[in-house]
Amino acid sequence: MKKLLLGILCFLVLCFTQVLAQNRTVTGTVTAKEDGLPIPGVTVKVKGTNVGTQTNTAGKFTLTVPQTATLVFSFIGYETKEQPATGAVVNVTLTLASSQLGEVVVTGALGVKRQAKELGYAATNITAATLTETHPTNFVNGLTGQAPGLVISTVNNGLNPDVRFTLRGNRHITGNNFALVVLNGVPVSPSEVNSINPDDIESVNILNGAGAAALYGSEASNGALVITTKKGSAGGVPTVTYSNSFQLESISYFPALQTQFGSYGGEGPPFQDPVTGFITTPVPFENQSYGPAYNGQLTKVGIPLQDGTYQYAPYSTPKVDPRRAFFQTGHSEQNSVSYAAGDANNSFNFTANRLDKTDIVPMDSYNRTQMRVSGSKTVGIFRADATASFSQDNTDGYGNYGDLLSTLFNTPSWIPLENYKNVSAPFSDPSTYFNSYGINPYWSLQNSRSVSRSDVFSGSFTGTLTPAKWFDATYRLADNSGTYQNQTTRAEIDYTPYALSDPTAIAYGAHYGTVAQAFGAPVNPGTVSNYVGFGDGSSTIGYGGPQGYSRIQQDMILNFHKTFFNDFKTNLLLGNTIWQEYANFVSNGTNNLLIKNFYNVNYLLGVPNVGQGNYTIRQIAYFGDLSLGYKDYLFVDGTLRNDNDSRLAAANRSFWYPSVKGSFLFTQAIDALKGNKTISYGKLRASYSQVGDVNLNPYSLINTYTATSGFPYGNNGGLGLSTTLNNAGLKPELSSEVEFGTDLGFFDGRYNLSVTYYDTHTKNQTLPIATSPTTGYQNTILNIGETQNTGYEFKLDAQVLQKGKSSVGLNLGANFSIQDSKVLSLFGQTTQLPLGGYTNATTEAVVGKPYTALYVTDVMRDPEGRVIVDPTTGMPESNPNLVYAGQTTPKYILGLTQQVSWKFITLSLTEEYRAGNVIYNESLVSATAAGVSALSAEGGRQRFIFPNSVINTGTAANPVYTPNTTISTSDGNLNFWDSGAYYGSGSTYVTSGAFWKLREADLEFNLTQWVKKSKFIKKASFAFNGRNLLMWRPKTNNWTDPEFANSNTNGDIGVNSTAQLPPTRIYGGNLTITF
Amino acid sequence: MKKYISIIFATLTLAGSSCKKDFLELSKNPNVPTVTTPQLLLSGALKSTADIVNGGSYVQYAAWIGYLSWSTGYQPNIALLSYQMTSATYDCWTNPYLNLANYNTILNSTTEPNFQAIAKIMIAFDFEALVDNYNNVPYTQALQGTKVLNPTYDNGSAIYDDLLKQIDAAIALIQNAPASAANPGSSDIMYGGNMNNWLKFANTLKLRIALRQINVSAKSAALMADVSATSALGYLDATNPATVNPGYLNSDADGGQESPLWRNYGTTQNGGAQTNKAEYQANTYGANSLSANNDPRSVVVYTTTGGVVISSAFGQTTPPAGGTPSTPGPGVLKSPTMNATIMSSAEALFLQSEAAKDGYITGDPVALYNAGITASFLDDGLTAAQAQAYYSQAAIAYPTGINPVTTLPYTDADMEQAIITQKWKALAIYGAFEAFNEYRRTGYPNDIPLSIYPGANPPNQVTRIPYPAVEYKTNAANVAAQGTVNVFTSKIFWAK
Repeated sequence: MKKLLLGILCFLVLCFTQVLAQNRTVTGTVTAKEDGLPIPGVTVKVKGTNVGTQTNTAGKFTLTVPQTATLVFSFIGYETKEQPATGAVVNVTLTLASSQLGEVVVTGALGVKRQAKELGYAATNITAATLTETHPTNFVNGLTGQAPGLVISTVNNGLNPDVRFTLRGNRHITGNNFALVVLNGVPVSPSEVNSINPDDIESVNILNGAGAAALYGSEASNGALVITTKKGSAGGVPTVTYSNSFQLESISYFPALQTQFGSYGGEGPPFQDPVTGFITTPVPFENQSYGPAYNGQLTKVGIPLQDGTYQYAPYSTPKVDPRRAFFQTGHSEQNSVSYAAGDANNSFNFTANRLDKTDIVPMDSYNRTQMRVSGSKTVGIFRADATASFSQDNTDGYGNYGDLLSTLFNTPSWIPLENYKNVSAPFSDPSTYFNSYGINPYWSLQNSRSVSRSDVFSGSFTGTLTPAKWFDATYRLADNSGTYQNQTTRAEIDYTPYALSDPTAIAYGAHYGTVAQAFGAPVNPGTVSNYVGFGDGSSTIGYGGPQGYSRIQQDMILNFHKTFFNDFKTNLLLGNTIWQEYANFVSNGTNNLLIKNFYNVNYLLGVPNVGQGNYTIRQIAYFGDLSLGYKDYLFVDGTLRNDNDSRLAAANRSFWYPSVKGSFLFTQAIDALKGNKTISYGKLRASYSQVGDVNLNPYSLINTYTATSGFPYGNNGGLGLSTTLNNAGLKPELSSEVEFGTDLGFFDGRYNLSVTYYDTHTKNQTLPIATSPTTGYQNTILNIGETQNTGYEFKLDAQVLQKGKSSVGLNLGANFSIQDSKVLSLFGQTTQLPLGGYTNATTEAVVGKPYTALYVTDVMRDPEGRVIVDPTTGMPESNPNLVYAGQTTPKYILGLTQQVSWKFITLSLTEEYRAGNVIYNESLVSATAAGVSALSAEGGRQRFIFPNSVINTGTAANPVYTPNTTISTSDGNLNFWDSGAYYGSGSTYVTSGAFWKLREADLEFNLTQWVKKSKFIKKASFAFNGRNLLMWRPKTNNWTDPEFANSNTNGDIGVNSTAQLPPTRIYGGNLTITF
Repeated sequence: MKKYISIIFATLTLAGSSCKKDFLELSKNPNVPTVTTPQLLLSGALKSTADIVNGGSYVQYAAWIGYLSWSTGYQPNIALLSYQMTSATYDCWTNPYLNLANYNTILNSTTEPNFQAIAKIMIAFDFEALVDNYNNVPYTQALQGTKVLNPTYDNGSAIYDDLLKQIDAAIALIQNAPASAANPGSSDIMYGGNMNNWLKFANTLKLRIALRQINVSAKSAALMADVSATSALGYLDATNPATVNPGYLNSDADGGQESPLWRNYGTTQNGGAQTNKAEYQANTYGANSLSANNDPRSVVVYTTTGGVVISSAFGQTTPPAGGTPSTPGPGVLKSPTMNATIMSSAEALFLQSEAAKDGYITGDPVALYNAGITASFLDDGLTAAQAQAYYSQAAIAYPTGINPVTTLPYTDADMEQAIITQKWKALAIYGAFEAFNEYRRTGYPNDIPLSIYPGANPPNQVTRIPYPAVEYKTNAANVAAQGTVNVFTSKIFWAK
């Protein structure tokens, strides 16, 4: 906080000049009372004059004063103190101001700085220290659990995992629900957060609602994360900081797999007794694990080699499950350097960061190099600020020739997987690998690679003219752009004639097939695909923007401020913004490379696959913001904005929307409350806002014709109607939000509470509605549908023990959100809109249900929810209708932070709880099909009475449901767990999405007191830290991390598949030295 | 200071107004064309029709009708093997309607009579398939985009009546086309712009639609009159089967450039098995039927190991002995660049044989029957002599005159059985849907076994598939009005 205040202060003190009579010199140090640390940037003035200075980074000042003088020390957030200047040294301690909550300066929309008391909306300011405490490689992860309303989900593990962040839930049924990311005043793609060096960040201001962000216009309907990077110091003494962070990453929770049963997949005799139907012998070449119980005997594995050699393994699960042992411990190392310098009129800041990382997946690696230079200069009435950053990352990852988890699930636990690392050796190569229906995962890992590189540039220039006290004008030009290059390859697979002849017939009497024989040819040529894109440096283009797009933006802002009659403080802001987003890509590839291990699309058989696209979006906006303050306790702020968007037809292109916000400080307004120590700060606030949003891909107005599949054939071209019927009459979506809240401070601001209620309606949703194919189209785009998001947000901070008073400090924080959503209407006969389709489940927007709703197939149940089984077979039956299983986005989010400090040791913890949602484990479906899930062995592979089941002893018309205590399922093995109604029911794989996580733990040792004696080291600290160290889930979920999702798009949230890696924990240490 | 302010205001105004109009005009799509020609639409639409007829969406019929079995090397496909279908299992609906939208666009976007006629004929072809799959379907309100987002269903029988009228209108368009009328030329990837062949195809399609309704006795007189009105145009024969070939290539590019039947049951460009090649294998019933009575077709319709077809019964779960299970063979899968059949010569000739037998057209049912068998043999890469040897056998010869066993005259049912059974053999694999239709119309071949998969226990052959899930989601009220579909009892209006 001090650093932030310092930056602002630098700006304010520029007007002071030093004109004074030569008398005597006073020096001194200003320290903070609560922690004893020096405060830089404190204004020191001689009372009754304009003579003054400010403290440097060490909190020291030097000032020439008259013989008798009183010094006034003031600093935002602290009580102003007067001290007679007696003697040559005046040391002062400042105490935190009781009303600090309201004095805090917040950077709002467009970089407009306001004191917190003026705000009519909820906002949370997160400082650099909080963000980088545990050195996450993506700074957004550092925000987890820190602010109410903010939900951050890392949807997978891996080298550079996707992170989704939303504020106040999902407002848009389709399209972009990411919070707007604003970097130094200019919006950037949410994908670009990974290119921002965490050490660069000065602060992140979270604007939860549309009201707060209304000035950002049509992109801000999802709230905004306003990021400010470091500017350099004003103290005159350059500082250099070096930090090294080393962390390990290992699997924390592996899916619950059974380890009692080996290989079998439905083969008949000789593996099955033809009379009893019992499975007598494991099937050596089978991928499924529905075989006999392990007995430890040495057993044949797979097919023999051509010379008749067999491999054998004990028929039992080894001590360490080979599927888990497949993964390794990853590590990451970050080296970071920063240099900050400057004086009252100039500042300079440089940061660089290098990350080297390996993953839990063997062979995968990632590195990232980032640099940023920022500087500013003030000359007279003109101030210039410029910042530029460059980030490059390189990823060498698995090319996903078969999901690793899926391949591992299809490996029975007795198979000696670790023997197959040399993938050209017998029994490991594709021709003689044990699995007749799958390939060696080590082969895939070594021969299927995806190598990509991303280069991201971001820069901006801001010029400010302050020709008068009541007026300033700002011009800003910013550019964010990046390239992404990827090559994905898969090596040629060669099969021997022996493998093609189907050796299972020789070894096991019948043609069960091999991978080679199923493929049917000796050579499966190598593949290559290339992709080069220009945009935000990420791999995907979210066509409606801002994801995937580069952006160039120009802002012009005029700011008028004047105080009338001493009591009316007014501020008028007028502005214009013009931006363009642009993205393009070129791709090519082939599945038929000519030469083995030569990955160039020029050398192929047949015709290459090619693609290209380019996308431009432009917008011109005008906006105004008028704010009025009365006597420092009543504030009203109104905004109006007009957007003109290129994605809409000329007639609908221009749209207006307003917002009005107000706040009332009752502790200031009511005399009786002034100076009250119990309730030291009290504010009521209210806001109403509208934000229009063009939630639309460019070029969605005019119908198109696409190349018919297969064309062109030589000189024959063929086109067909696009299956989507475009709509020229589309209009913007409109989000209206009402927000009420209060901010309260107790006991001199040591306890702060903030409560907010909001109600958002988003109308005119631009939805690609699935139409009946009988209309001639599968989709059309309409402005229909309305969603409602309501919720409560609570934030409580408590400074239980102030460190200044004792050697022990204790700070506690909590934030809690309840997020409710509801689809109010869709369209005509359409009351449900599918968003994602999965095996036995869909995610949908359904009228009257929260958004996103999970629908699954189910078994037939009686009105009490008990499963109805067939009176003769004991088997459940399928319900022909999909049933509602719950919402996939969390309804309750609780974040807790604790900070305990004792002398030089500080322990900081962050925990998070989420609940109220369900997840669909599609990866559990495939593990159950494979017979490896613990679920599939729950019945011991024996016939069993379906728990809590009933039998209809009445008639179909008048059912009577009697508890089933006698009828066992007709099968307890493959025919129950890999087929039939229970297996085919999505409900079998739905679990609660609730969890508690220990998100962050950081044990820091401040070594400054020991290193201070050395001349050049100013500060040093060492820390042990960890992320996601512990997770608690309900017993029903023994599968995976509920945060994981197939992708970070709306419909995929809450649904995981075998493409997600197991959950991990990250732990390590960090050393930071400041020179 | 006034100077500064005026400069800023000037810039602001300039930025806002000067380039605004053009600056925001970005509706032109740089990625996908927004205009087309009737030629490009016609090539695309005919290719898509070939994909529908020869593609994977009819593979279940090939299994149920006795040509193929589910591969014993795969996990059982319960929906297929035990007929446990839901609305989500099969969709023979979406692609025909999307294909229709393209023909409809040709019809409405050009005044050229030849293009319009072809569009009308193919619209009739697609709608017939929709009725044959689903009975009542949207027709009069279909294909109108957002104008009618929830089309109501028309009666299958009424749709059939209108299709005949539309074909007549198409015939008239071709016949009345002025000499200056544009010829579709090479964009007609079926007949290369030969409009006379289109007349014959239209006329044969008419015959198929008429004969399909033979069980609806109330319509017989009208249908007979309608057929005879255009019978002079002639019909498809061995020389002019309805086949499509845009220039198929052995290539996986652009979504697959191989002939659709090859792409369905054959291999990829590099020789790897396509999904249905791996998932389906020879059906014992088909293998036996096509080798009975010295029929040489079995070993070309299916692949062989040592000259023997390795087959499994439909529903069998254990691998057959004797070698790698057989899959569709070289008589059916000729090459990746083979023509895609829309209507084969054999089918057209058997239709004419039946029509001649029933007096719809004049002609010799016996000669047409023999010609049908010959066309099938030639199609499978066999010779006319082999065909003659085959149909000259007493058991195969057209049953006319006195039955030597019963010493009574052959009945009409005997003749129908012979024609339809031979048609079933001729349609092996590639014509599974048409074979399934004719089975449901006539009950022949009358010995196709049902699935032996444990627990399947079907009461009889599937009579129709349920309406697709997409319709229950997007046109719920209208499809609900069609009532509950029972896959063993709900029949297409023309079914026996």
